[in-house]
Amino acid sequence: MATEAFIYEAIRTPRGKGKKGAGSLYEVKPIDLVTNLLETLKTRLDLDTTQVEDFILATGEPVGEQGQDLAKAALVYSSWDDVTTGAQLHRFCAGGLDAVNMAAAKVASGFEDLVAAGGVESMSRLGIGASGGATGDPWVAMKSYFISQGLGADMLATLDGFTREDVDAYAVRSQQRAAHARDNGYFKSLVPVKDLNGVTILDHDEFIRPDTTMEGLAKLKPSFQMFNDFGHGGVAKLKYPQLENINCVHTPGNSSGIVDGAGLVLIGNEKAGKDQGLKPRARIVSCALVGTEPTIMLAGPAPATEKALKKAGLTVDDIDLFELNEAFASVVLRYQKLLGIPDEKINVNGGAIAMGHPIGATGSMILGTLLDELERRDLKRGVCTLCAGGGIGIATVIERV
Amino acid sequence: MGYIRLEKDSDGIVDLIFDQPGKTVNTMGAEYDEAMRAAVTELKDMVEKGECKGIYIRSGKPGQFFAGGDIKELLEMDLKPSDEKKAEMYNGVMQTKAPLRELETLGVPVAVGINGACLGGGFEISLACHYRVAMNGVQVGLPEAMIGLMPGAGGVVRMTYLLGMQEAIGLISQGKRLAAEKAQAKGLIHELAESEEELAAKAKAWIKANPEAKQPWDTEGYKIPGGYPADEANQGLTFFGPSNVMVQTKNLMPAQNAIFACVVDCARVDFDTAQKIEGRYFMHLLLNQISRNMMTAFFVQMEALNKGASRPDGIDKTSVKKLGILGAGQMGAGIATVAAQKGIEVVLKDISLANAEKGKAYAENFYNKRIEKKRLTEEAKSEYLARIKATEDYADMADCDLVIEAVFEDRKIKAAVTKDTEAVLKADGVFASNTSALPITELAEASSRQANFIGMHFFSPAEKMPLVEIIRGANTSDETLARAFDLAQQLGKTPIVVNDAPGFFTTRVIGKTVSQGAIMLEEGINPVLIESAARDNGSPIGPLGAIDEISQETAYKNGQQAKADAEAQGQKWEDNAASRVLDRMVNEFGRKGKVHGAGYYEYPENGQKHMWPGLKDAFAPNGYKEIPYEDIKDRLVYSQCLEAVRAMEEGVIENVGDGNIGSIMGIGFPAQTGGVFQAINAIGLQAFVERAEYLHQQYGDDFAVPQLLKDRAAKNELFL
Repeated sequence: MATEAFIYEAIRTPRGKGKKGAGSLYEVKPIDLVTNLLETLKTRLDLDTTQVEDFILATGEPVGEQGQDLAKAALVYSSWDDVTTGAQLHRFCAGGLDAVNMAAAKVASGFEDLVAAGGVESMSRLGIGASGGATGDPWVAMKSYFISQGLGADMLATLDGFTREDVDAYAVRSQQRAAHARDNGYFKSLVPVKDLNGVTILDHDEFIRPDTTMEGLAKLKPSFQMFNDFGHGGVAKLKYPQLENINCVHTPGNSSGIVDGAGLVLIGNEKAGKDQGLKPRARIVSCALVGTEPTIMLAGPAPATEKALKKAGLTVDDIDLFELNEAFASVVLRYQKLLGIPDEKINVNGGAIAMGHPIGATGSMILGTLLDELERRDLKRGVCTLCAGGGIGIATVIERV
Repeated sequence: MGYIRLEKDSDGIVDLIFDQPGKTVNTMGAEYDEAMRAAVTELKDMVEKGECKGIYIRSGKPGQFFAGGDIKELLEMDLKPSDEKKAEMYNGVMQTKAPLRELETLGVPVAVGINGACLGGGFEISLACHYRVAMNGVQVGLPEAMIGLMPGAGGVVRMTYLLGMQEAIGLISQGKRLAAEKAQAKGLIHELAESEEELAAKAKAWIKANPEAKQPWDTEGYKIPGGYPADEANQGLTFFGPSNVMVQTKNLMPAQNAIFACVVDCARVDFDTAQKIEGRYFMHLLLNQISRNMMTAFFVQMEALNKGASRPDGIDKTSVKKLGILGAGQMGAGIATVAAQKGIEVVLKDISLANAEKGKAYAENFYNKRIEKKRLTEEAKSEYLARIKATEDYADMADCDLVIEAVFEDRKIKAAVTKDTEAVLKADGVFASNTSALPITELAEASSRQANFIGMHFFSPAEKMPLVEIIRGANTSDETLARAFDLAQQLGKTPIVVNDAPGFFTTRVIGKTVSQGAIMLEEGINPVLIESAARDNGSPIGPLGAIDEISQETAYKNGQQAKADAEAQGQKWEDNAASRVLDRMVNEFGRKGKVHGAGYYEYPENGQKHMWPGLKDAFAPNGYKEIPYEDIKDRLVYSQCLEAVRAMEEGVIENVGDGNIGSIMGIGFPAQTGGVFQAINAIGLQAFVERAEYLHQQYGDDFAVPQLLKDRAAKNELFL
């Protein structure tokens, strides 16, 4: 790599329940989630924003108040200098981490010296599908064997033989770990969301349900049975002839939650940091993107991780902690199975099943979670990875400096 | 005389009369294009000069309106044209549409009088008229999807604009033909008439009363019924609709995909843009091999078959007034059920009156179900049942025109009933043996009038299955063949004609795919993959599921019977995979079939059937054998195609169309291939031979390539 790309800071909002009228962040416009973080970053680092060249911001529903170029709109609206530009990014659920990777690529290539990256998603204000999408077109859907993403998770579970008990047990663990981490203040990257007067609106992840039990989870109905029965199951079988039936095991209890939130990461080269007296927290070792079979859609993290590790000349054993977005429990179980990762090394502070998955923001948020934990345990290397629409897998290897 | 005549009446209304020279029905092809363009140009001129107050479109052929597209012309088109040629084709498609758009926007009212079947292109023309009057009972609709096509002259666009997306998709993708009365209820026909005179009178009265007529879609603020693709109310349709199409067609029917997409795409844009989109999808199908397969089998060959391509020439059409049926089991009763519906007197005989009455009760039960579905009236049921005479007495067979025996597949019993029947049957009565495999010539030995003896292989359940395989024995006369053929048509079935040999045509062909299922199972291949492969090929049921339906026990007994039969004839009998697997299923595992609650599949009371897990321990104890999925798929199909060619080589089947139609309608050969012979054409003869040679090398002699196929491949002589 020509130039090292360092992470100077990684912060995030808390995750509010993504429910109209019920979530604490429902009253907050997406742009305000972003500017909350932009202002905090500027203050916390005493950042000379004239030195930040670009801001890449991901979202999963780029329409309405998350539409056009929300990155630049947020910069203009904030106190940052006009010289910083911004761009909107969409890579489904991988967007938040991809924004970071792109920023790192800009820095590593030497084209730019200091770049902000992040993601935002107000799922309470712009629900899944709000921005439409070409995949919903009938001709496109038929040509691409489109099915509901959640049914892909059920396919993973069926193919790998994970039972309802397996995925529910994973979900219980995610809740316990997240609650423990929150209660013990492990989430250093969390920045409260404040209103225009500086009054705090939300200062903690409010989706966690620490009292979750196997018995309670067992009562939930499968979320994607209807999709299976209404034709998507049949399409899945055309693609996977070895599947006789799909065992629908995923429920709201073992799938990622619907929440609001945003993340922001500052990436720069060594000199850019030094010029402002910033201390790097970690460096980006390698990044990878990979496309996998799109109907099952969620099998990308393992090959993406392998690709990123290979580029870095590392193996799974060189990694101290893995942070894999808990889109669905089966995604994590398959990843562990394929790469041989023990429970103690993965999602040690819970994940999206407990805390929620604000689509475009998640990647940028969990990178900070991973870095916080590496620092807390004084470990060296971590992998952050997500599955995403269309079969995309993304992974980033970081190393503390 | 040209294709179109224009005749003006004293009120200034111009009749546009379709009367294609040299054809019994009007079709939409190059001749139509030219004539229609000229006619509309002339009409436009007349309208501009104020010489035309309205247009009345009709057919010059009594009782025949318009048959649709000229399919033979379409089939002659190059399947892989150059880019320039394609651009030319697209222009051609758009030029066919253009006069219809001009017609509906000339500024004068346009009405059509539909005096006979109005399907496909004919109905597309009608949809471009402001007012549609039809004779009672005539069939209208857009059946193109049934032959792998879609409407391409504005039919999709106009149906969508007129009825909305949901209704348009349903009617077009299922190729629905509607009686005029039903079409009127849907808004596709405006008015009904009793005679051609009344048609004209009503149409012209409407023209006079509506000088300002416009199409609904050309009126200000018109909204498509049911709304647009982006509407919340249509999210279910656009989200789940495509997957439903795929599941129903196994994603093997490009027409259904194109129709669904086209309707939705057309509803997103203005009317004239929608016409362009429709043209592109239509052309996409014109250039599709599957559409060609289906046009070939379901239009060209089906038409030839129905016209009697395999019926001997020079014999007048016959009809059966009284039909005898021996054996009132499911098969005999099923035939009786249909025959009575078709107005034939039926004598249904079994060894006891009670058994015969049971057969009659089967018919009654079937009619009752139709009544529940409101497809039949109580009066009709009584009428049908009155036609069925249950009996135990041979004497009742005396004056039957034709007798079908549907007794057990046992030579001795068949011989006995033949003799007993002939003892009473009138001299010119035909005796037909309904067997799926026993050679007709040998069965005929029991007959004293072998010229009148023939095989008629009905498929079970006979009241539903559309095919009859007619087997001509060595001594069967042409007249007898013609009479059996005519009876099949009288019953509303499609007859195919084959010569005599064990298993005839259909049974030996399907036998190959069923035995491939057993062979693969015995090899240790995952049974789920075997069944999925059949599905993905387009078969209605897999080879294992098929045996479950017949029941392992029945299949096993049939095998034992065939073995005994062969040995009695002094022939050698060798066990094979199918017999070994059946033996184990029945005798070792006690899994005797679906009716017994257990076969290759498990049949849980409250759940979906699923593969019996014990199959793995039984046939793949050390893990499944992995072979390429494409090989599994091809083994199920190639085995059948190769057997069909062998049957042709041996002279069992002579007519390619009979083989194609017989394989699809009788034994569920994948329809999108166009049948067991057309499948070979579609793959390409040489490519098929090469693939078969690979399969032969890998999987045995079932895939040996017959000399006939090698010879034809060398000359690229297609099976047509």
